Amino acid sequence: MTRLRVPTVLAVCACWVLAACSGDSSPAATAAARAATSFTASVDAQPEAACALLAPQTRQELEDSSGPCAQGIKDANLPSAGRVISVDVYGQDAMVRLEHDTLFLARFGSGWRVTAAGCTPQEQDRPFSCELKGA
Amino acid sequence: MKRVREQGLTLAFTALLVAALVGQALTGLASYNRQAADAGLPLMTLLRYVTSSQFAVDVAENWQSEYLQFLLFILLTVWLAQKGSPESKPLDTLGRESDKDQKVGRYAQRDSPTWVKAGGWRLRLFSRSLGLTMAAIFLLSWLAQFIAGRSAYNADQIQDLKAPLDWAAYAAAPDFWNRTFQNWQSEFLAVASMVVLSIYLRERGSPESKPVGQPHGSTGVDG
Repeated sequence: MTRLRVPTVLAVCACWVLAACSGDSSPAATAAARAATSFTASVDAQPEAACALLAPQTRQELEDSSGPCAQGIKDANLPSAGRVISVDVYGQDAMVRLEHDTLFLARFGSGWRVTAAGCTPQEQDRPFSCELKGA
Repeated sequence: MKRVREQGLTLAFTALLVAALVGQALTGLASYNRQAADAGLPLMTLLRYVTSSQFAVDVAENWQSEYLQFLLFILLTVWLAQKGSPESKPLDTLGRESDKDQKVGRYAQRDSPTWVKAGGWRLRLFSRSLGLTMAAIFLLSWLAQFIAGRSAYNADQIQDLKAPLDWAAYAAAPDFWNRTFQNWQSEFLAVASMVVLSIYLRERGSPESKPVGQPHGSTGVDG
């Protein structure tokens, strides 16, 4: 029994670490990408639907600064995003790069929600500059 | 009851390990969720947290340093000595020692381990099995720290609206090496402290201590 126990423990530990740490978990990456593209497609045509895909704090920040979400999101000058280039998922956090935009998302109980949009990279390791983000 | 008495040391430390892991999971979850709530980000359940990279890296970074500590202690005590310490061999026995002292070859006993009596590569491998196993566990847990650490670091990067790091960038990142070195320094301090303090201090009944009445200058004698 002892001979089986050590390799079994090591195998379980290896599976646990790999499962916890996959940066490109396909189902999660697909879901994050879907949320990002749904959001960008809804901004102009269905702003209420886009607002429903915002993270609570991001929506609150938008409403505090620009009034009702549906109007504020259209006034945010978000770029026409284009197709998905890459998706990075780490646990409950994701970054989706599109042709003309980068979105940051977090996975809530109700699904992936956009925490920041209209983001452009800055100089080395500085935060992205985003048109829409939480406080 | 006899089994418990014979295995008491392992049972006690296994129970302590489990209790400490539970404590780490609960307090780590509370800490993560406090920061997530402050940032308006989703909270984790306990199950999600103990399967997260954040928990995995916090466990792995401690495990790798413990096994490195044991690996270095096992190997260095073959060739290095500390006069007066029960953690050290006597100064006239440094090195791999004779077959007679190690009870191998023609000096193997009837109840010596099977691979000792087998000789050849089995004996050579078994002769180094403790160091090799510690080295393997150290390397695997350090690798686990690296993999989990990159994932946890990149989750923080995304929360901070920054780009995640690839494998090469994380291998050179201060986060990885800071986690590594802060754990290593404490392990080396613990060993050095034990080696020196055990020269002059005693704990009656412990095999980690010299007998209470043993002179400070006697080396490699334990209680």
